Order: sequence, then structure tokens, then C-alpha cells
Amino acid sequence: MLTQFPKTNLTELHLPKMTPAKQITLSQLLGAVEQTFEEIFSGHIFMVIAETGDIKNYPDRQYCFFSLIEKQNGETVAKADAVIWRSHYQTISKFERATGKRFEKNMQILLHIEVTYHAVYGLRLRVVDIDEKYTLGQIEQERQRVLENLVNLHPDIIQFRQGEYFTSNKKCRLPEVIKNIALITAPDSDGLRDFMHELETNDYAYTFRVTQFLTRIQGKGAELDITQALEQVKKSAHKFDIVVLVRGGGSGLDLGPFDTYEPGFCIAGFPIPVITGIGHERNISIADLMSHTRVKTPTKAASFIIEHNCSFEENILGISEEIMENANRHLQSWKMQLEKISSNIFPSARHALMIQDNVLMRFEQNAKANDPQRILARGYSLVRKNGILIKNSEQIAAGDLIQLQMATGNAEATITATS
Amino acid sequence: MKKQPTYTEALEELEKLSEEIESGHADPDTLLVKIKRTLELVKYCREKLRETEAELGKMKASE
Repeated sequence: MLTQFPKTNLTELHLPKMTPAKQITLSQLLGAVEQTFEEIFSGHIFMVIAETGDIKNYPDRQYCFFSLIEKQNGETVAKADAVIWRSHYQTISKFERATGKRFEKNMQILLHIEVTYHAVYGLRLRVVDIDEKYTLGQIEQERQRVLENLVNLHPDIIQFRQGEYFTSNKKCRLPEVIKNIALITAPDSDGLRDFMHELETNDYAYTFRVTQFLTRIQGKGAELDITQALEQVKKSAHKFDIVVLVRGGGSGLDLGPFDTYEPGFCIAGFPIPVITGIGHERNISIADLMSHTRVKTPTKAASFIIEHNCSFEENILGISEEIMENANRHLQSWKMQLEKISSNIFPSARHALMIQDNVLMRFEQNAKANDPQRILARGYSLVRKNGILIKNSEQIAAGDLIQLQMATGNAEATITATS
Repeated sequence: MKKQPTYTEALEELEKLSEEIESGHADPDTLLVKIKRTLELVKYCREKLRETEAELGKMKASE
């Protein structure tokens, strides 16, 4: 039963009838206090907001002692011992699962509390539940505040449009083939093992060069370690195709560092694509929102890389098949052309020779038709004087000796007269 | 030794001779020389054609 703090008046308390003058034992006094507490608080459960102080947790024995504090302006204004007994011990794991936060010192939480008093152990607040909804609300508020800061302070690299975050990192192009990987994760962790195993045992025998940047990625202040690792990669970013930031183990605990400002800002403006595989069960972390690509687990981060390379290979194989097909098609068409040419070549050549024969025949006939011998054969003679052809009578005079050439045979004659 | 004309050169010369013969300007002696040259060139060209024909025959046979 939850209740408000009851309005109690001292006069209403059924204190044993005693006066300060009467001597009593400590146990009598504290017994009376215990009884009074019992009467006032028994059966009431209070919802109390407080900050955790030192915690002594005994998981083996399943109980947990801790202190609860309230501070105002840095001053402690209230403090009490609290305990979670075995009967409610699972409330710790329930809280941790739901919020992704470890139950630890300096957390502001909402507790469901019974007030108890014991003559030996004094005042103790017995915790029956830790309210995860209150903490989730706080986490979400903080997350929203960080996101707003990122967008407002760096509009050049982070924009929020239609419910989505757009960052410079998302605009980075993945290379066609991913080969050189900068891996940021925790040393000796499931995340490291899962990622490397998946990458090294891929079905396509692809090989990768993975440079590990091992660092603390969970626990208080881990965001600074993550940011430092990112900055270290950035110094030699040109040597890498992508950065992979993974966290394994499957537990939803200690995801806080990935919801903080520093790594988020660093990822958003990172010069090469960042792939996150943080294994968030609850929500998408700020690191996820800022990164180029987010996947759920380290194994899936490795699969993403392998599939990316595989799709490039398939593309290349497709292109090479296309090239082969085209080459074959061209080859066939050239072959057909050649066959056509070779089947025509001999007839064409013969035809050309025949034309030439005719041309030659024409020259021959023309020459023969103009042969003077043919004219002589018709009865004409050629007249020469001293070897010079006589074409008119003025070239000769009476008494000249002339030579006659006939179709067959020659003769000499003397001119008797000209006219 | 005078270089043998190519087939094309021989044809060009034949063309020229033919025009000269047909023009009727040549005297019988020159005419005879031209006719003789014409017949020589025709023979030469024919031989070339026969050689080519024989080559073609060989090529076809070895196809």
C-alpha cells in the first residue's frame, strides 16, 4: 500500500507513560521508539526521491546496504541508511535491465520505501522497489537535452529534419571495397571476439586489415575514453576505410556513455564512415543516431562489411559476364561479315580481271585498227625522198629520185613531172 | 635495267598511247612505234592478269 506521509502529532503517539526523571534502560527507551515507529509507519509505503550514497552490495547473500542522501545547494539536508533485503533483491536487476544503468552511487532515483526502526540497528529505510520509470524519464530527458545541444551547437554537421538526424558522417561515401578497419571496442570483450570471429570466418575468404583501438567503453566516464579512441583514429583516418564502434555481451547495462555529447559530436563529424554495433536493447543511442550506419550487434557489424564487399564482387562479376556476352556477340557478327567477304572475294576478283581483259582488248583493237600496214594492204603506197615522207607535190620536183613503200616490197622511181 | 611499270602505270601509258593513235597526228613511223609499244604493254598487262588469276586459283584451293 502506497501512502502519503501521515500527519502525526506527538500528542497522538502512545508513548509509555514515563517522565524524564524516571530511570529506564536503553532497551526500554529504544523499545518504545521502535513501538512508536511501528505504530506510525507500519503498513505504509512511501515514494521517496533521493540520491544514492555508498553502496555495499552482497549479490551472493542477496542483500544490499546503502545510504540515501538529499542535497540542496551542495549541502546534505537529509541522510538515512537503506537496505534491500533478499525478498526484494531482484528489484536491482529489474531496474538495471529496464534502464540500462548500473545501480550505483550518486544516482537520483525514486524508491518505494518502508520505514523501520530497530533497537540495535536504528532507523532503516527498507526498499521494496526502485522505480525504473522515473529513471527512464530522467535518462530520456537527458538524452533529449544532449540531442538538442548537438543540433543547436553544430547546425553545420548535425541537422534534424522530419524526425531524422542528418550528420556529415552519414554523407561520407563507403568505399566500394572495405579493407582497412579501425575497430574501437573493449579489450578482451565479447564484442571484440564476436566481431573478429565473424570477419575472419566469412564464406568468401575476404581478408581485412583490422587495427584495434581498445578502450573502456562502459562505466562512468567511459564516454571520454571512447572519444579519445575516436580522436586517435582521426589522426590517421586516411589509413582506414571505416571505423567500427562495437560493444558486445547482449546486456543492456551501461549504455550511458553512448548517449552522451562528446562521442556523439565526434561521430557526427567524423571524416570516414562510422559503423556502430552497440547492442542497444532499449533504444537507439545518440552514437547510433550520429553514425553512418547502425547495426544491432558486433556480429552484425562484421556481416554488414562482408555483405558490402560481396555486393561489389557480385556487381563486378555481373559486369564481366556482360562484357563476355558483348564480346561474343561482336565476334559472331565479325565472323559473319568475314564469311560474307570471303565467299564474295573470288567471284569479285574474277570479275575485276575480266573487266581488265576487256580494257586491254580495246587498246589492242584500237592499235591494230590504226596500223598503216592495213592501209598499204588496200593498195596505197608511202612515198619518201631521202627517207623523208612526202605528203604533197611541192616537196618534190622533176628528176627527183623517190622511194615507194608498198604493202609488200619497195621500189624506186624518178619524178618526171609534178602538178 | 629499266624498271618494270606497275599495272596501273602501264594502263595510264596505254591510255595516253591510245589517244595519240586515235588523234591521227602521228606519222606512220611514229605511229608504228606507238602501236608496237601498245601491243607490248597489252601483252605485259595480260601476263600480269594471268599471274593474278593463277594466284587466286592457288588461294582458293588452299582455302
